[in-house]
Amino acid sequence: MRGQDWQAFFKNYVVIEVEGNNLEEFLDVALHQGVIFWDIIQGPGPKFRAKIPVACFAQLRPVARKTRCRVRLMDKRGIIFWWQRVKTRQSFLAGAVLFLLGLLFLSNFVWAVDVLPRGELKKVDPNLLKVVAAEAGLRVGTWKGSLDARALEHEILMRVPELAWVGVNFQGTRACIEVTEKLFPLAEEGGSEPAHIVAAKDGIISEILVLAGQARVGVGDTVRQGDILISGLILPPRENPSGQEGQPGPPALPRLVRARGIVRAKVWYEAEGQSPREEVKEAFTGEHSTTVILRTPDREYILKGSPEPPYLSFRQENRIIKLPTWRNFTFPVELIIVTYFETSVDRRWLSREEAVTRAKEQALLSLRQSLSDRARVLGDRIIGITEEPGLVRVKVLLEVEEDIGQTVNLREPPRQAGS
Amino acid sequence: MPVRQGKGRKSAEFVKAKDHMASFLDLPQEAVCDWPRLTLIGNSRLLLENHRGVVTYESGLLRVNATLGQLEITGKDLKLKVLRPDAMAVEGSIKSIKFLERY
Repeated sequence: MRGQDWQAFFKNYVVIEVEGNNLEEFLDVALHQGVIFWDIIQGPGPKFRAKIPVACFAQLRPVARKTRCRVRLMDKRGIIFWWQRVKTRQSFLAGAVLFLLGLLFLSNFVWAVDVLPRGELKKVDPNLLKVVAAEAGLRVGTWKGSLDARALEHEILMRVPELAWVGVNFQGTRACIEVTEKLFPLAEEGGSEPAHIVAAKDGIISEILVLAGQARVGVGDTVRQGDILISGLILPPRENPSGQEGQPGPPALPRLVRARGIVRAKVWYEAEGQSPREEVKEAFTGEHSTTVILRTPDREYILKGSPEPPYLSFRQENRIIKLPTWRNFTFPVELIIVTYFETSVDRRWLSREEAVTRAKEQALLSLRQSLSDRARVLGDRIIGITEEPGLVRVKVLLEVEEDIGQTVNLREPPRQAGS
Repeated sequence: MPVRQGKGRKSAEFVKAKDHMASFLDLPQEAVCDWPRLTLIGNSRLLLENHRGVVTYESGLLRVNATLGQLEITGKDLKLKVLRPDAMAVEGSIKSIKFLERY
């Protein structure tokens, strides 16, 4: 039987060679004794070679004597004989055991330390993290048993204040340090240098609230981009114009502060939108058909359905089924299920008003996406309509109230404050 | 019921009666009558159960004792894959299987 080929290893059998003139009689008598033979090979001349179980070997001696055959033991195979051979080679055995022990021993050390940032690291250098980890005790060549992942996490977190979270885990002999950085609030609010608030856009001031600094504009003023709205240079109060006190006092000096405040202004934006006069509407009719394609690197086989879409107008949905990849190996065959959904196309001419409304909506939509969250829309106005054959273009003006203040550091003392 | 004649030899009637009984009771005949059971797989493998010993074994010829008489198997590169007291498996390219007359 085929199965014996691998089972034979566990079976412990011996290979014998029987030589004599009445081999058939030998076989006959041996079979009566209950001996099992397998793989009997007729040798050249009056002899054969066979395999028998170890336990049967002793039974063969009387049989051989009786039938006047000679039995020779050729080979002993099987796990106990193998084990006996191994036992005689003590140093080999010791080497094997030593190797396994060494593997076990060495796998208890950290052989690689990797930093895996979660998200982009802006402030912390991964190499610095490795140094910090090494100081905390996590370095290449450390015994894993002496490391406590939780304590390491805590230690690294303490030493690197820019980190929000640290996770240390071991994957075999590799230590992974996962880190997440703290997100700091925007830098311009954290600064302490003297600064102005200047206009980022042209507009008309509608509201001004000064928290620090000196207002240079008032409600209703028109400002241009770059104008100082709240100055970081606080000028001393003017001398009394009348000067009736006559007491000059110590001359007050201008002070420099970081201007803070909110300046809201009306700002106008212009945008253009267009709309075709013909409206194309697509609707699903509910009809659909499926095509199953088997793709191999060489060609595609259609297993089911039609190779071409069966509808005049349709939407197509592809679903690709692949076997999971294993390491670098990607299974080269994939199944593609294409579903065609029939659609009906409806064409309609829009009136001029409808087209203009659509074009305006389109223009406003693109504008609104670029507005900041705190902007308040006050109104919109169409300022121009151009018509082309089959197309309407509309120019829209959007009036918005928003914060136009922009903090700008004073690098050099301002030449003159105000105007 | 026929009586056994002599020392363990079965008479022809006894065998016949057993044969009848086996077919009447729907029992496998090879079990009741001790007949050899041959299972041939293609021409390359022969399973022979209920044999009574090997008479001749050469690479081209194999003679086996069985209840019904000798079985002669001819072929090329015949090999006794397994030989047990009650069964054997022969491998090789088998040309013919023949029942030799009882002598």
